[in-house]
Amino acid sequence: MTTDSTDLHSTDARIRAVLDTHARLTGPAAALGQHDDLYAAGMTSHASVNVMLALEDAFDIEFPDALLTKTTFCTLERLEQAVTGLRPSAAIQGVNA
Amino acid sequence: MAELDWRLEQTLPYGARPGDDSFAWLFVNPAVNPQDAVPVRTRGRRRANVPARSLDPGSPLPEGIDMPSTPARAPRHAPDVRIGCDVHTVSQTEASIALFGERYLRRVFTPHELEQCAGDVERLTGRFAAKEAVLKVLEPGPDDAVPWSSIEVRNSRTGAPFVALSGPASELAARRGIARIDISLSHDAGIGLAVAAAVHPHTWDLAS
Repeated sequence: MTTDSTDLHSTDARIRAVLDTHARLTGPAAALGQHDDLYAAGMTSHASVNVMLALEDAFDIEFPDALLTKTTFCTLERLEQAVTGLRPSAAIQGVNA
Repeated sequence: MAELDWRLEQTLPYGARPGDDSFAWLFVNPAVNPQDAVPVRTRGRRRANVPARSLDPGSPLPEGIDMPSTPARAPRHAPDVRIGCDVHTVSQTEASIALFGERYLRRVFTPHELEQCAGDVERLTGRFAAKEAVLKVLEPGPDDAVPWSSIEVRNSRTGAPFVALSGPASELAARRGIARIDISLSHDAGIGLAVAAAVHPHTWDLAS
């Protein structure tokens, strides 16, 4: 059985991996805080498209149009909230993956 | 008194043509906010346009023109003209198509755009830049969801591109008071470039 903190850690790690590959950040995602502005860290609007699609692949989710806001993609915390909200079981599967 | 700070400014009304003997006048109070303005109100009703010969900036108010009551009651207006620009590289478009294929194309472009571009990545790149330029004109708030597909680039019979908004983008344009957005696209040397411009109907549609 997993704990909530372990689930969140796994989700966080997978999102950071997606950001490293697709967000075109100026530095490693590992160095980002939960509330750091991803756009200020180098993510472009077009890169956010790739981040969205890569997260959909990684967590088997689909971002609805209503979530295509700057707020959704602005921080790690917001991305984690979006991913978790779209697929409540995503974190657990992430731990077991 | 605060109302003494108001001054008259002349602006060109939406749709005016060179040589028109008709101008719009706004009361502006820069001490409050340069973008706060109210249309000239003639006694009894608001007038959309006032003939230029009727008023001169700085001159005493003629009979029948009332000052705004208080700055706090002045409606807030955006600037008359808004512009946005964007550049985007063909290589990034190619990379996204290679990675995500149809999913990328369907999330960003409309069926009409995909048909029109017929797989030409340079044209798709220009269209992505156009969507971003239009977004800069629309200025969505942090929580405004504006899917890329709600901004569509079309071509007129002459080939000139124009913007068609739908859904959330159209609603946001209405909230911003934007009636039309003009667009110009170019692509060369692996880069797509777009400039978008919108002119506000502004305040003279308040006549009632």
